Amino acid sequence: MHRPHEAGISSPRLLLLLVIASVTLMTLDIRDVGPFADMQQTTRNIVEPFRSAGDTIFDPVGNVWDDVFSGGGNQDELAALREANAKLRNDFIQQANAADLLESVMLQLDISYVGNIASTIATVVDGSIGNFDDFHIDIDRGTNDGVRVGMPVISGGGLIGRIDEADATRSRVILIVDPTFNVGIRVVGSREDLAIVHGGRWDNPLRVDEDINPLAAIEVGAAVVTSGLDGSLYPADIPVGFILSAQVDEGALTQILEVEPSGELSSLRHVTVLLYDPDAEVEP
Amino acid sequence: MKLFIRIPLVLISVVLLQITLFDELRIAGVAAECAMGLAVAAGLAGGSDKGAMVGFLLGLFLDLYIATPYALSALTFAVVAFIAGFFDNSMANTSWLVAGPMIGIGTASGVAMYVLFGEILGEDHFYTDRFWVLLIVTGFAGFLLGGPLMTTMRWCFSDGSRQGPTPIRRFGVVN
Repeated sequence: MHRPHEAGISSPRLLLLLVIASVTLMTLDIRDVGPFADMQQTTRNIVEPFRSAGDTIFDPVGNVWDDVFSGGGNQDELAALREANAKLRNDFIQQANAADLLESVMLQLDISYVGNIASTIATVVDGSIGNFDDFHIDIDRGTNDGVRVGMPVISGGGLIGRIDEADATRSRVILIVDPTFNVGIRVVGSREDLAIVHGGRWDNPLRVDEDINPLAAIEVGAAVVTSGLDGSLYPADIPVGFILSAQVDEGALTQILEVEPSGELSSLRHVTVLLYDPDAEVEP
Repeated sequence: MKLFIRIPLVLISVVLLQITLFDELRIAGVAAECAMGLAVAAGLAGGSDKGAMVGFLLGLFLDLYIATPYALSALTFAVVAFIAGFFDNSMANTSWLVAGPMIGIGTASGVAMYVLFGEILGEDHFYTDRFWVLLIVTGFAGFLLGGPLMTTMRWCFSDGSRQGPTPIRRFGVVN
């Protein structure tokens, strides 16, 4: 069973070396060391033409596979219906938010979702890659189109994520359902309640589990929009979702909110990237 | 010298196939882990040292494209290939029918190890109630791909001479 070791570094030492190298690289990645991230981006840019060629060649194969094993025709119809549904939800939140804004003297000054923010429409070219990368999609717009890391991404239904990695011609979007995704929100109708909502994974609602006044009256079904506070990556008033439930956590002196995302996430085909620079929005 | 041309060529090709073709061909929502299978084949064909190096480099390249902690695949592939290298490769080298099950079991074991490492690193979405489906499908895909992957890695590690160290027997036929 056992094969004699070859000359050079003995096996256990080599393995130890590789483990140490892996852990070092993980640390550099987690700490987001600049040159390291740039190196990764450069490598991806070099290989990108081959990857695009592969996508072009193999997409039809994948479509045939889907048709045979998943009923592809029905999937298209379902996707179109979901998109229409998401747009209707977005309209509802927009209207609810607009009514709220009218009641507020502070927010009557031409604040609207997207508004004058430049944007670019992108096509979703890839879903999650592999079996463990559950909360990302790839889009066909990159730094050449003005896309930068951190920019918000919206669909017909509202906020669906932000740019996580931006290469020259392609970007990766982290979806709002990722547990590490955080965004500052405001409940429409109770303006003083600002909190952070985070992803709850697929098929689970988003969650707010701190900073909500336990005495605040939170209405189930109320719309939730981005708060757009200074320093936030996101402009104000992008629809995020609806309140599904609100329960007081007496121990933590807060309310636990569950929020159903308004953006349709499971069958995205086109998205809009807001070319939003939070630093440019700060008044001198 | 041929090793330094063949290995990068194979690694790039397999990663591109993994993120394009095999990502599309899903069974029960699970994609074949072709790259993991190649790491196992590298260990079987080249032994622990060469296998671990190839697995490490393969993982580094693949990690550029998947949004999990960078080098997690590299770590897993290196360990899996290293362990595979301790198994006697003579049988796997002689027949695809033997290579298939060995690489299938190795791939499923590697996927389980990947989940374990991921959970240790805080990626708590790696282990789900579909874990066993994941193992079965990736293992089955590894079984199907085992023969070609083994042949590919033997080609990488061979010296290019017409008569290699061990003839490859495909389904009982010596080539």
